[in-house]
Amino acid sequence: MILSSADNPISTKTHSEYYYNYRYENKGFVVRHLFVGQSNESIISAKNSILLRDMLSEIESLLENEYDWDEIDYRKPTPEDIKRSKEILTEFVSIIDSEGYSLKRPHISNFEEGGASIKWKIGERTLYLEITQNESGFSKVWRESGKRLGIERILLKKDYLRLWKWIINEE
Amino acid sequence: MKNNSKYVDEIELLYRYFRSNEDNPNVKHYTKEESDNILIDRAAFSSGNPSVNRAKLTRCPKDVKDKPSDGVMGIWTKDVKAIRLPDYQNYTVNVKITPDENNIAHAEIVLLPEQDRISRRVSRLFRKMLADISVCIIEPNPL
Repeated sequence: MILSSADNPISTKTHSEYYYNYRYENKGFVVRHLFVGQSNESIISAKNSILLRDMLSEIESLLENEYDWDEIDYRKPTPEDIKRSKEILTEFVSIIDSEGYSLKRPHISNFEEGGASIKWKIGERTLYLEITQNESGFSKVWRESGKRLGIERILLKKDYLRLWKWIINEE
Repeated sequence: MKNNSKYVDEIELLYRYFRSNEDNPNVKHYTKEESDNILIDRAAFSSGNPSVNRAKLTRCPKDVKDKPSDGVMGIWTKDVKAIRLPDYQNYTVNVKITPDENNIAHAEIVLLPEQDRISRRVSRLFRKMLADISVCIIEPNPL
């Protein structure tokens, strides 16, 4: 299911209430959903929950993919990798959400070490979270002064918010 | 004009193919965004020195395809040379001219100084950065 971010919510403030009209698109069907009497924060939170659910489902599906078709020797994710990836992603989204940020849809795949790679590319910045059962890392790739720079670090919980602010260009 | 240098010293466009899985559209070396923009995945760059074709010596970009379903990406040499790894400052990146008898356009993107073995960490980051500077020129045609 795709939540169409292109459609800005139509909002009308009445006293302390907001009326929002979001559009969800699913294989050509358009369903209109009305959120009544909810704060902006809870609307963002609801959107984040929906997107998180989709992301977790996508991570789960990595277990079913083929891993020998391209002969590049990427490891196949294990159920433990997937479990850990889902835990960390849920924790990551929870922190982003608690600060009122609206999540964006990432690109999810396996990576060299198995596990799950969660990638956001926004403008000239790319952020990867890479999670296996035993270790978690992040990479940042960006452009600065005509150079293309990249770093890779261990992913720690204290970094989540800072990383999100970086990828959405708030830092 | 003959280029005697070992590395491409001018701004040139490079071509490289990238894969889609003909049997399973869910696994591929790229992502198609909602906007139809195609993002190349780092899986499109196998380990070792990625092979490329110099556009100016290639008749047509589709000539670099390995399979009919492949896509073709373009990479500018100036973007390759602009890659920096702040944690590994001794490395630079260049495009080595490596023609062979079957392909005069053949070249390789190399990390310098060249070594027999590059750490997995450096290699992984290098591939991410190559993916970041690649642009889809011919969309893959799976199934």
